[in-house]
Amino acid sequence: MPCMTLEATALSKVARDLAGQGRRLVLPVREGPELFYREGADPEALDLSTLPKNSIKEFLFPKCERVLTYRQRGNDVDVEDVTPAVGPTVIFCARPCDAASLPVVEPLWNWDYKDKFFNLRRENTLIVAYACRQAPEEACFCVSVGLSPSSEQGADVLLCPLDEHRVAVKFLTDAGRQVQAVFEAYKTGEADDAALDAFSQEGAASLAHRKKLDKVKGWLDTHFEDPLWEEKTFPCIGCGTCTFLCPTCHCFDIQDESVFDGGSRLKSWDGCQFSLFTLHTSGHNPRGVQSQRYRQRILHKYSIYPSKFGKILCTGCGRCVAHCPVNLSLYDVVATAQERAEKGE
Amino acid sequence: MSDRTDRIREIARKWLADGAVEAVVGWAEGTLGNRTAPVLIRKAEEADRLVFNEHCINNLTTYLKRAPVKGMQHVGIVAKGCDIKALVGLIQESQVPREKVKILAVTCPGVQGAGGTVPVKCRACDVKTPVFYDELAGEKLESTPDPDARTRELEKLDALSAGERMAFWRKELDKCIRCYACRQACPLCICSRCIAEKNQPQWVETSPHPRGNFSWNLIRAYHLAGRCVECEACETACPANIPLMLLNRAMARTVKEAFDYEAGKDPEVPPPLRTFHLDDDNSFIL
Amino acid sequence: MTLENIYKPHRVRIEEKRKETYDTTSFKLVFVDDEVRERFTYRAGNFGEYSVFGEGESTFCVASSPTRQGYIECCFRAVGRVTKALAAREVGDIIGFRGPYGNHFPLEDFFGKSMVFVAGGIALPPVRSVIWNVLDLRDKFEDVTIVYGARSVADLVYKHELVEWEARGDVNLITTVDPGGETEDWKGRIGFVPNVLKEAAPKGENSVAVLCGPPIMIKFTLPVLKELGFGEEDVWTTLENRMKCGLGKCGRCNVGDVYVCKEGPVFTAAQVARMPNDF
Repeated sequence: MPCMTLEATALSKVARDLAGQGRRLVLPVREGPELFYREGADPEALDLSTLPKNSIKEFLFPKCERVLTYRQRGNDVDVEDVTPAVGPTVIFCARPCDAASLPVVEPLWNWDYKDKFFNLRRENTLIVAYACRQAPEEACFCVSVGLSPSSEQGADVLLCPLDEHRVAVKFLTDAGRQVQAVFEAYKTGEADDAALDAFSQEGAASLAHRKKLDKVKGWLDTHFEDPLWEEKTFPCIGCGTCTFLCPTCHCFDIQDESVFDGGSRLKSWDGCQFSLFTLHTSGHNPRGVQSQRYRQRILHKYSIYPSKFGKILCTGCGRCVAHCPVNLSLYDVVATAQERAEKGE
Repeated sequence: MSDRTDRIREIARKWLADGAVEAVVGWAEGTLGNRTAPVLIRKAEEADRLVFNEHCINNLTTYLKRAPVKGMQHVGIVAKGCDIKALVGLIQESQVPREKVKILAVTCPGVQGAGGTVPVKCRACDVKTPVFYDELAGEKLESTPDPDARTRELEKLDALSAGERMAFWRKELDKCIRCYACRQACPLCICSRCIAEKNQPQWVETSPHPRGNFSWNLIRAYHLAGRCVECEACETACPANIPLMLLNRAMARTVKEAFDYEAGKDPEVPPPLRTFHLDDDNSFIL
Repeated sequence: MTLENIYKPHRVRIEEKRKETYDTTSFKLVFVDDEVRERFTYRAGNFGEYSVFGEGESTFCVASSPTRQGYIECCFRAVGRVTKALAAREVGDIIGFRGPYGNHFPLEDFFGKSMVFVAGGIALPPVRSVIWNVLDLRDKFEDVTIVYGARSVADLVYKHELVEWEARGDVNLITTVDPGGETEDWKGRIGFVPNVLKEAAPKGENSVAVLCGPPIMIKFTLPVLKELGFGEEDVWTTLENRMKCGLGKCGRCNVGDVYVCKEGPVFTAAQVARMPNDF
């Protein structure tokens, strides 16, 4: 079935119109040498030249969030619930690896206990994804984890830039169809399935060199003490960059911070790469060495999370590879595990 | 650059074969086109993994504080002039015994920063040919430091009013996500337990909000005053693109003005903030 | 979509406070909210997150038995920021409690069997919840043996209950302290827990062992239990790990693919033996 197309130059206007309907607008803009997804940026500044450095995680799971407040009153304490004031939001031109991170992490935030902080934001966020005609960065590897540069996972609307001018628009969910009129106001033509297929294939072909990581879990489950971990992880300085830029990493810390007799309980980003993460008060640390912490991250993403929720905790966005200050490539480590699994080692 | 690579390999091979060192920390080919990755080699045969080129931006001396290098008796380290300044600092502070490290210095015309730019440290570099080392790889290069490179951006900040400057820093530090990449990459952040990791009492709030971020970043800058060698490892590592070097250079400028001292230049000169003399200037207190 | 705040604790009042040892305190806590107090249920083995607002939360088990309604008890050592703040609270103070979390001892599976409880030092509280649960349903079980030891007499917790258990005719209580830890009037055994257990030699047939203690004690007790005829599936223990959320989201407490806060903290020795070296 054919779908509409619009001119690439109309995208800023669509963003502005969606915001004009009473939504907080998040879109990728340039800051110096890099792109960042920023809230409230000028739609005219929309920059689609590559993958933004940050993921869209911070708009659904903020780096620091109040979960309750308290005030001491003698030997009693008043405890107030906090519900974040969440209005409708649109993340405009999220790359498919970012959009796909949402269905990946949803099961965790709802595993028996439902985290309202994430759920409220998820329910109120419209995802307009922007597919990649070709993988935008050398570090990309979305195809390795079962996704693709034109994946529809997690998206309400998918924009496919068929060429420099024409962008095809697919409305994927009810929420997406509710805003169809906004896009149709700029319709200039149509694209058929053949054009869309060619587009998807071009994107996938740009990552043909990436391995399918389908045997990694089996290897990880049986090589906990393998020398690979120490071999590969010498450069790691435990800086947390990979964890914090990753769209699917979700570990957090809970801290109380007071001013005099009142304060807040805060939920903030944390990561398994920090030595403090698993440190017991007794001084015992199950993961006292960086290679153990690095192993945990890989295991969590490629073995533990799949065991629990049937999904890999990774969308292959490649930020961990591109921005690691010591160029330790998570993809390289996991691909090595895959190779060994294929060889039966 | 390739003859530098050959010479580095030759020296590393010899040191390992002779048992002069247990291991050599150097740079190897990276997994991305414009990167190199730190590597630890323990055998002479592995020396061919070492390279030197314009992508060797990491300061490898940061590995001296971490296992497994921390526990070694003798280790070789490939280092540029700026990296060696950090090593001088570590030796001055008794963090690394001089006899532990064999310095494989390399003359360096400059490295490439983010987006192919020239880092400020390279513009200001006065150690293209290092002076403190055990072996030197590469033809000698003349340093032609740009005298204003380190202060140009500071002067723009100086020209702002206090309120404007505060607004600038509030905007920048708000981006901080408390990943501590700055601390981990910095060779001179050596505390076995960082002040931000202590909770009895909680000196620094750990959550990434403006108040906590100010605390963290300013305290780190203060702890580096008179010690930071401006190798830019912190700013390079920062995933939030915060201009950390502005803070560090501002501190270095103040230390220079007050004590006529620059960190990492001479291992014989005691750092002013770690020494005390009866005739020290006390005019700012009294 | 639920707007329930899963991170918000219940307010509980400290009704009783006892200094068990020089660094260990026990509390009896009552829910402030009447409805919560009526409705609250839990199982032996569950844990909770205990709050001092302004300091943080700390994880320990619920040390009381669910057969007793209207209150919960806990016992903890003051070693860190939060536990020290908790130890400084007084009777009448309000603190927070989030829970119950985790899995529990499958008590029904133990009916008709003999129970052997082995605990060391501060690890008595999680075992205590099962002990009282069993004693409150005494006729459902065969023999009950308790072997409890600590480094010294001063380190024994719930001393007043040891006296109670000693006095009961339907419990075989054996207390011990490490050599050198005895006082002049100490009437119990002197020796390490594994050795004392070996001497006491409760039979493993048709029995369940509940074992908690420092890793070194566990290491040497497991072989003794095996010798006495306990199967690995019949030896139960609790694992501790660093926790924050207690409900499976913060990613901190996993041992391999087992989340201690969700699939634990109660495990059989067989399960623990299968775990990777990650705790």
